[in-house]
Amino acid sequence: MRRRERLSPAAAPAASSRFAPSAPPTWEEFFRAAPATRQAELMALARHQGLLYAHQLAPTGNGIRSPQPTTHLLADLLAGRLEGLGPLPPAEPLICFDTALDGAQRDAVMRACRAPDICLIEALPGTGKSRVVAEIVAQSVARGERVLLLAGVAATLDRVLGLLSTREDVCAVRCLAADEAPDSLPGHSRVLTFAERLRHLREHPLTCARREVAAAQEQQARRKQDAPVLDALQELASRREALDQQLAAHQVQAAQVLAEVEQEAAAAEAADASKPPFATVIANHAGARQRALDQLDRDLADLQGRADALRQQHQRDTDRREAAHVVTQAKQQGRWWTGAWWRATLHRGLPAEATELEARCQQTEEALTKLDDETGDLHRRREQAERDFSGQRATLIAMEAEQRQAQGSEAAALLHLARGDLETRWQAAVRSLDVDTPAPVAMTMAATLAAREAFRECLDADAERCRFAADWAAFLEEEGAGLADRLPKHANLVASPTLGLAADKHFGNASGILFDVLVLQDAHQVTESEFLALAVRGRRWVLVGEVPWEDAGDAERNRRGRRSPLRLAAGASPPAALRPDFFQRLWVGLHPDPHRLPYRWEREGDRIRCRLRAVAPERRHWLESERVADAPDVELRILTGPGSRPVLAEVVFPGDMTVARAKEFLYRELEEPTVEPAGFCPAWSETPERLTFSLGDEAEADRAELEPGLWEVLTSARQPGNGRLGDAWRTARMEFARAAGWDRGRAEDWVERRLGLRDRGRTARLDVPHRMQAGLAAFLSDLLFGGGYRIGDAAAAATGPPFRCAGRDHCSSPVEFLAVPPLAIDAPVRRANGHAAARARAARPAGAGLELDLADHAHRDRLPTELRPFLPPLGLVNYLEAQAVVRALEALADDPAARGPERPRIAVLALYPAQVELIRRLVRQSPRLAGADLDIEVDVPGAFRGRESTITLLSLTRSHAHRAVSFGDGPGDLALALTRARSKLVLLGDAGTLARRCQWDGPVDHLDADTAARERALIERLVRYVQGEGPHQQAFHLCEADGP
Amino acid sequence: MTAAAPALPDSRALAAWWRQLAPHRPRSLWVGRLNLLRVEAPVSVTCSMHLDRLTLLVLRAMASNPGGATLANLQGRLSVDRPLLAQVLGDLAGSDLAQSGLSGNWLPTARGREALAHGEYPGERPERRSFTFLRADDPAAPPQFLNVRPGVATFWPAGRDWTFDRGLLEDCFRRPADWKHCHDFPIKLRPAEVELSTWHSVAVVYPERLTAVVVIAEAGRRLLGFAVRADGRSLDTDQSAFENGPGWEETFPDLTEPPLAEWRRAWRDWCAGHDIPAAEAETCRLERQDHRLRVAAPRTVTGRLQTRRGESWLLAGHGRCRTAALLDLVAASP
Repeated sequence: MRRRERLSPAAAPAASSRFAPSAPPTWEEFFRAAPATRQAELMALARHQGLLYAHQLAPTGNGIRSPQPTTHLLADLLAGRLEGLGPLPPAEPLICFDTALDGAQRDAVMRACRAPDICLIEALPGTGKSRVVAEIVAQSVARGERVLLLAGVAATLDRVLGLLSTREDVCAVRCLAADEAPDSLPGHSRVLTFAERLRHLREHPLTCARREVAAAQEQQARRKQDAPVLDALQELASRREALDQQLAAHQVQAAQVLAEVEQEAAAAEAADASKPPFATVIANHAGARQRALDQLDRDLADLQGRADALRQQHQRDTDRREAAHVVTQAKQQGRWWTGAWWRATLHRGLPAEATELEARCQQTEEALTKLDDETGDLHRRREQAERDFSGQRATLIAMEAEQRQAQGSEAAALLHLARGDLETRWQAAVRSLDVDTPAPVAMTMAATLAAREAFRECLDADAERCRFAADWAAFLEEEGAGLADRLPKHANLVASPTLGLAADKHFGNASGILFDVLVLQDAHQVTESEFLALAVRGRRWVLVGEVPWEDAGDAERNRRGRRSPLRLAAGASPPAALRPDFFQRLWVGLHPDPHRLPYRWEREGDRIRCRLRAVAPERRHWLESERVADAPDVELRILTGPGSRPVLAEVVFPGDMTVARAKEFLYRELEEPTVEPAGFCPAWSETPERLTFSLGDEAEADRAELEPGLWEVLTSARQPGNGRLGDAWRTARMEFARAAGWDRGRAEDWVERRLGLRDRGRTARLDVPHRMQAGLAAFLSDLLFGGGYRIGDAAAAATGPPFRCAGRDHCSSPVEFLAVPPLAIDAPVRRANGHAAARARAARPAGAGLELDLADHAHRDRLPTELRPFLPPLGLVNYLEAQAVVRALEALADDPAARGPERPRIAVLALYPAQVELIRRLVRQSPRLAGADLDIEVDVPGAFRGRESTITLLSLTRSHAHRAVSFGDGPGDLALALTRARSKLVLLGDAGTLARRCQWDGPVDHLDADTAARERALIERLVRYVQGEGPHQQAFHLCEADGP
Repeated sequence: MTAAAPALPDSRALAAWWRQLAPHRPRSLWVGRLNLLRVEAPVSVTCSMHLDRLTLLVLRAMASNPGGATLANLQGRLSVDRPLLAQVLGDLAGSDLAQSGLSGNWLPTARGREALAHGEYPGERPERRSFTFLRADDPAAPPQFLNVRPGVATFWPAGRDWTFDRGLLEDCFRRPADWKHCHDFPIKLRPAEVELSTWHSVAVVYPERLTAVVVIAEAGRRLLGFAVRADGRSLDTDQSAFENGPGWEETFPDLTEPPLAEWRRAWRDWCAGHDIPAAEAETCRLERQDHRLRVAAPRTVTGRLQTRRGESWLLAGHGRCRTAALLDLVAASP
């Protein structure tokens, strides 16, 4: 079971129908209905016992079981009972999908994702609420949760949906309010409506599936046509390989021709002559050679025989000659004692015989020499015959080999020719294959077989594709409607206007769908009863609301703390459940607002004053001064009002004492940490060395050690009003050193005990302006939010892109005030005094009387005749101001920066519908604007709720001649109009009427005293800028409207 | 655990029940007032999970590409909204049927391929299930598992002086299959391995009570229990409230034949209700035969009971289960 099923009521055990009436509730019923504290107790008991017993599921309190835990928790929270809040789960590292979120936004996302029951996010306009909400939704969806996103304003909803449109895991459905038409939605939201999704789910996949079936079948058929081609390719490859083999054989044969011929020649020489021509020739040559050699051999043998006979004869003769020579010499030497002498003596013919023998030997030797010569000659002739034969033989062999090789080459050429032909046919066949059919990578059998294998796989794939496409199409045809039925189950984000959900057919209350997270935007506009009706749809809630400007604008009230639920309940006429301050009451109850602390540090002349209690100006005369006995330079101011106990209200320190030492002094003496926080949202952070309770992110200027290991880190900050740096010292953070024994629990207890603050991890505040240009944000921060925006000094001083708008020249001031009528100052005076004179004129509390009441015929007659029929019968218009608006737009139209592909979105707002209609008419009549490609929308502020523009032109309209008048429906409307611009805000109004308004204290027109006072405070701050005295005056430019 | 015990059925009811139970051919009949403990606990159910057509087709589309398919590929092929497809893929991943690689390619897992081949896959589904345990008369004796059909027992406030050892349930999971089969303990369950962190993981014990008629059937091999309806007279014989196979003695060790003295006491009580003097009742000879109690009574007694109409049944024994017997009155031979 998935998390969603697991937690859904449908998956829970059946209700206790089988039980008798007195049977206990099912465990799930009981647990869900129990308040968080009871749930925690039960879980602890279960962990302790290993299980729970039925009797332990008895309800606590009065025994009445509420079916909705919602009621419990909200009632507790609204009553200031925070014990019902369950413990926060362990913090898990959060990796934001939107990497451009700033620290405060990431913290808000983390808190929203971590809170098990409720999380409140309070934001100033333009601080990225939509992006944070989109991130919360994305994170929740990524965790497998179903999200119900609600917003009072459809535009807010659609912006979040636009931010989520690229998230693949978000399956969103946009519900419509009763008065909404799909065509009125932006494109990215229109496709998310249930009807559109349904239509898309039913039609688009089926259409595509049918197309896919056809495409798959066509491809399969096309592919099958390739089968014969592949057969042919295989045949060609086979033949080619045969040719290749033949060629290879030829090559081998060519290489062996010589050896073969040699072999054949040798064989021919050995065998008889019944051979092929070459062999016969060789054989003939060999026979001739043999015959010659035989003759020569015979001659040689003959010679050899003769020589042998001669040599024998010569040997005999030589022997005889030697014997005769011995006898002869013995005789001649008279060696008579020798037998030789006696033989010579006895054989008298021996000397002659010796001589003869000598001659004969010589003859023999000569004959032998002659024979040797003849023999040598014969040998030479034989060798010559051999050489001649070898030469002839080699020539014959070479000729034969050459001949044979020529024949082989000829055959190879034929083979090559055949091969080329095969290749041509191959290429043609390959070209005829379908582009998706794998062709053989080479003209070989292996490649062809591989291609055939791949082809078979392709055929299988085609068949599977066909089958799948058919199955898919059949599924869609048979169960397409069922696919649409899945939508409510699969939709993990249901976005709906607050008023549109209950009646929604698919996700309304009747559906019973319980969402894991309910994210409510514009929570500041929702009443308690409205929220109670919505809250049952979510297991946990994330409420995102705007800071009420009237509270944020009153810095002093911020410091005192916002209106408490009790005070609101006592003072307002409608029941609490019906008041749209539900979010604020929750915020006040849950958010540890450090600005509720009464302490305030400021300079008083050359001394430093610490305010411990707020003292109203009219009560200051009851302050009594007293010196500290052991520190006479420290002055105590004690409030001693009649009938009340004296209380220490202020302590004044000498100017040479640092604030840090003064704080240490006060903590030592009074045990009060006199913290004036630098920020709005405290947060805990931990390092191995210390725990930090952060009250702002400003840099450290000094630090005071209140207790061992406990430091109050101070920062110098701007003094509200004059903006001077260093006039006040605020607390950036409290640091608790672990080495001194501080742990998280002890530190939290200290903060709760001493400062009354406990961060329950369920609130976050967005106060870094992202939408607006920094200078504009600084101006609005001062005008509306009491410096509530967190803007760096450098950013606040930065200028925006220059637009030629109200003035003649490009003006880089983010805020322009265009006085209508022009401030009547003579040119020489203007030259002499510049804006000072204009401001002096602006200070005059007298309106120009340019406004026209359309209900008054005399007034109506002052308008051009052609315009009168198109204007409503009632309402206020200011014709000159409307003309000034059009001229400002025409100036913008001439500005290249305002045209082109990235043209700015221009909102022209007027506080009265009649003035809106008048401006629209004049805009249509302007030929310059008709030809210009400007993105202009003219409407009342309410139409721009939840939307923004690059440039806003606000026509204040009112210009009364002699009395103070209200502006629009109320200050809320004015604040809404002022906060729509991103880059530039152009105010058009009668400076005198504004100044006159500041002089009136009390109810005005339809505004009651309270609302009128808030409007007056706002106008006062605006007039301060007109008079050149605003804290962010560099962002403000006063100019005068040109005449028509 | 103290509460008023429900009244025992009368003779007419017992006679009717005996007739109702005749198809089971019981040899004996008991009437039990059973104190139960219903333990609602998280379990994992082993089951065969079937893929619906859409999921199956998505899985098939994924598997048709050997290298897997990206979400964009699948969307291109199926033309379904990407978030819807992403949800289906998420469900597949959650069921371990598909997984996404580092390159974002979705591939079926081995389990997914098996599911693709067979259209189903073995899975485990977390559920909360009820397990009933039968409390013994002896508080020291541990409760025994008895699979009582849901809805037949009723809750009763048993006070706070009782406990249940969750280990007993875990022991049951560890028992051999034979035991589970005999005691009708669900086979395809195993205890959920969850920490006590959510309500879903907490086991809750509810005391319940059931009046049932217990018969031994199939020559003693099978024990059947039938719930007595709330009116105390009719029996729900459409479906048994519980069944045990061989080894039922472990759960119901007290289903034994009461000693004759118990029957004599029951006889005496019955006679007292029928104006038979105790002395005469004592003279009767009692004998048990199957589901009958044969009483050989003097003619004085039988004569007095001649007007008796219908069957008479007696209940003997003490504790949670009483044995019922049809009174078979015969005249004793002089």
